[in-house]
Amino acid sequence: MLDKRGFLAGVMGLMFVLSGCIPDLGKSGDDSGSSSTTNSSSNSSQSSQNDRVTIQNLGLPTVSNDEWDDTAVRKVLHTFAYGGHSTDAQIAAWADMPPDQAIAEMLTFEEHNLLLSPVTASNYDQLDTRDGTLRGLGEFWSSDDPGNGTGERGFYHIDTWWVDNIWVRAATIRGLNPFRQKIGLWETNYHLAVTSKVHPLQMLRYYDDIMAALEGGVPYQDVLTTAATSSAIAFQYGHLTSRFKNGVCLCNEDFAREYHQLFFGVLGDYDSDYHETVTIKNTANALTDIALERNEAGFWTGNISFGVEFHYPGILEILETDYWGENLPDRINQLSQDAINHPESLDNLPVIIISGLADDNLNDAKIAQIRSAWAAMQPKDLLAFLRAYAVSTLFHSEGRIKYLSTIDRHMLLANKFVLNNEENYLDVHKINGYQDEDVRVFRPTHAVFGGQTGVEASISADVFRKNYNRVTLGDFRYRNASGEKYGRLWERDWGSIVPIGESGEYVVRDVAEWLWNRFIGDGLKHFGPLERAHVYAVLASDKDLIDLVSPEDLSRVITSMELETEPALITLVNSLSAQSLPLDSIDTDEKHYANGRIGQAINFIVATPYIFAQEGR
Amino acid sequence: MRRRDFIKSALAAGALYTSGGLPVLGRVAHASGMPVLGNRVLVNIMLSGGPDFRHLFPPAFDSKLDSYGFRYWEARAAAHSIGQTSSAYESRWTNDYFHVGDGLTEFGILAKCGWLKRMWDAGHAAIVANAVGGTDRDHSHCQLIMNQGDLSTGRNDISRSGWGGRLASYMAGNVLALTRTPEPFTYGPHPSDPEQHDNRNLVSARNTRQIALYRPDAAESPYSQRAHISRSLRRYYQALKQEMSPDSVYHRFVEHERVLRAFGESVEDRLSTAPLPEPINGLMEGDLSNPMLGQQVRNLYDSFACSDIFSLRVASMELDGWDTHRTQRDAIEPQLEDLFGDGKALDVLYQELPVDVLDNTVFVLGGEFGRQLRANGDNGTDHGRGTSILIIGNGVRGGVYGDMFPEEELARLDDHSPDITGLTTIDSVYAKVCEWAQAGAGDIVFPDRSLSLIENGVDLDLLFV
Repeated sequence: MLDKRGFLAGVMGLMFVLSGCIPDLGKSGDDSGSSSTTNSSSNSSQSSQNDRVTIQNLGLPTVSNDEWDDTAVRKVLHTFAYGGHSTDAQIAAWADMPPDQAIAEMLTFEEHNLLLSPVTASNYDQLDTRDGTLRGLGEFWSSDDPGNGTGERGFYHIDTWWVDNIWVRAATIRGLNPFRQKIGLWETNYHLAVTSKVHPLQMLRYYDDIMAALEGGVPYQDVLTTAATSSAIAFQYGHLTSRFKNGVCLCNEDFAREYHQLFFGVLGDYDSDYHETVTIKNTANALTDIALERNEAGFWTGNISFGVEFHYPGILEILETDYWGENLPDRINQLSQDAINHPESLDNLPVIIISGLADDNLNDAKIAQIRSAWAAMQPKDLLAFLRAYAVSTLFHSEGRIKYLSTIDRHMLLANKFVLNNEENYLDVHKINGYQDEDVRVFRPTHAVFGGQTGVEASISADVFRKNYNRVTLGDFRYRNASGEKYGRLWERDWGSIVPIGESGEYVVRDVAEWLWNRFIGDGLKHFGPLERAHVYAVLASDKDLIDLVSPEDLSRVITSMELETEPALITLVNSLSAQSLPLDSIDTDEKHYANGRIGQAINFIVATPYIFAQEGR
Repeated sequence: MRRRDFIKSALAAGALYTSGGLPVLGRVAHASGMPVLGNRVLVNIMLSGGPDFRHLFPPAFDSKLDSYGFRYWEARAAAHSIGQTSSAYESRWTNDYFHVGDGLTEFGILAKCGWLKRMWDAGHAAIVANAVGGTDRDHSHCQLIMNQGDLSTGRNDISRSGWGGRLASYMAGNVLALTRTPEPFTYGPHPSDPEQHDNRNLVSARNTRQIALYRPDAAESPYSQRAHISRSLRRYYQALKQEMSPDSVYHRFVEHERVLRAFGESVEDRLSTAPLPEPINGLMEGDLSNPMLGQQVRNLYDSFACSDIFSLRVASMELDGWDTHRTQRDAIEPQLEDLFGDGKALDVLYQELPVDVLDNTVFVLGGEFGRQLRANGDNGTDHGRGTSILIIGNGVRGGVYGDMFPEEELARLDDHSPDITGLTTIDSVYAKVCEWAQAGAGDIVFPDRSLSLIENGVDLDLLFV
């Protein structure tokens, strides 16, 4: 069998190289990065004008500048960054830029992206300068560092079974990079999933190593090799004890199969018998002679070493190519260089990526475009691919539908509700509330086949019920305007970010639309007469629409038709929409009241069907 | 199918006994508060991961070196975690398995599965051997084929209906998803697009004891903030139900609200007065190694208790963890015991459900593929293709349907990746089960059986009494 490893050089039809260099996004330029300002100048001017990255579109048609508006930006942020923490001004600035320039700022793999997640003025935890790996964050949040605002620090120790707490906080706190955490979760809980079978230290190492590889911009196959040769994978799949001894492979085929299938999308259709009897069998032979390190307490540390003595000697034929390697990583590294360009991988891997992250409604035409873009890219670069896709007409099309998983929805809600890091530390939102829906980070529902998908969440009435009951039975969570926790007082201040109207007041209609866009992000597409009437009612009063319209008959149902045709209802709704909210009142009770009204409006908005899915346009 | 005979000789040879003398077919004449079942019910238990039925039902040990009964044990010794000696094989067979047979073939039932043994002895457990669905040994794809019951299902055909959903629809009732998230098995048929599904007949019941949308109780003021938001949302959804197109992306969420309103309060009211039998509760409280199975059994029990409210026709359960690539014995036997053991899931259920319910209920258990004939080097087994399907119920005519241990496998034992050859396709089996559930259902739920196979000599028409 011929060695085909040399075929990559100079063969591919289109060679893309990212031009320019990554702008330094490690520090915010001025305090207009604060989330408390609303009318600040563009934040993007703070990044180096000379360092702008121009992405390549990889053959995917880029959305027009006209279509690249605030709503388009929000959709990218909702999908890829759990909504992000960018200010309205930043969103507007991105919308004003050419999309390919904006996306280069929006989506990065660095530990910090202060345009996507700016720090607030106080910045007492200085997360923007700290180690942004999960391990580093866990060490900080479990420490006695005076900047650590965490109350229950024991739940952030890196060797506890609560490592999910570290991730959840990392995805929702300001000063880091929620896009990094979104992709980190997708890789470790879906695409390259491991389960709670592995020790927390292994899990953290796995996550951080994969993210470091992505941040380093290495070819995607090398990212997959990093994962495939990790301590976590060896333990998850059980080949940590695999040995080739006395001519016999004391091993199993589990990861030998899933390396090809799950990691690269090679399913064996090219020749199913060969795949079963040669490729998988020989890959199992290649996954031999591993040693995992334990610490003094006897737990796996995440460190791994590879031997030679019990590694398969000689050549192994895999995917119709011969491989020789001294040890496991040697073989797997070589194999990955070819597997990434295997016809089945070229077909399936990009579909796995896009269907997992952004589109539950792929059709043949979209799949063909996605495949073409992926195939044309050398080397394979996940960031480049996602950037190109995120500003393409494929993403920004009516036909795209993405159902939100439980984690997607809860992280989005946290990012849109929590206004600063102090609130995050005081758990004003209960960021672990997703666990009520029987979902856990780093404990994927389907084990190595991944966590709960958005589609699964969408067909589960139990998920709907939990969300509904959370805002009814648990209505206080969004409505409470002040409180105390860990001996610290907190007070909501929506007035610090809600845009003030031209009249100098917080007009109900404007506030309602702003809230809808913040949480739903659809450009008011589904903020129709029914939704408006109900939201105006709870913003403008401490009642509800039915109580206002029909106090003598609280069972009345008011329809859109009635709202659009009945004069009394039209007058009422107009009146409600014109009310103002005393968000800037100097009277504490009045200000709390206004903040509570916003909380009630949020209760309503996030219980509508529109919180559970996103359309492309 | 050859009629099963009780193997009294096995008893004389000193085979293992169950703890009880008589099979338990349902002791409860009628539980207080449980409605009479007005129709038949199918309960599908998906064993995800590719269960090794040859570990549950091995051939009898035979000392002849070239016999199936020797070579099986030789090839599978590692998966049984026993030594590679004849005495080890025999000891395992003798000590750890009930010895049963169908009059033609002697085989074992794992001794930890006492309830299953009793059902076999009572003639209510059918084993369809050499069954096959998907053949690419890919979990996701083969599960999809199994859930949809369609051998032509491609990997991307994820939106099609499931055979459980189609059956429930034909029976003009509902399919209850008792799992964490609804399995594709439960997806209902779309009225016009075979590539899509419609879940109007699906009731998602992950926790039957918490199934209602919040509504303020009578003591709560109708003017509290909680009452305001509850009322606002309730009336909003009542209007939206009338206005939203069924084709909308968001329609499924409006449907959830409708279904939960329709069932939730009634079910919670009914169950609040129906105490959960302690043995059922025990399944969730530590009597099983997998508490999720216990919760599903509780959900199933409650589903029967509310069968009139739910219009129960089909129920879906799922148990994962059958992908036993390493240390198979340690991995698989607790699961088998959880399902089939004395005082475990199905045994407890059988003891707590009334006889009329059990007489009208059938359990179907299977996984997406089987395992290879030979153990791997890690005391486990790797993916195969052919498998078995278990059908258990008071209306089942028990026995083995197919050649349980085909001699032709011996010639392939030393091949790469040798596995069970599939001879009876899953749709052939499922169609018969559907036909039992309601006459005429088989052809409706499985309209295209052009790829169907039935093993020579097997008559699936005999599956039910």
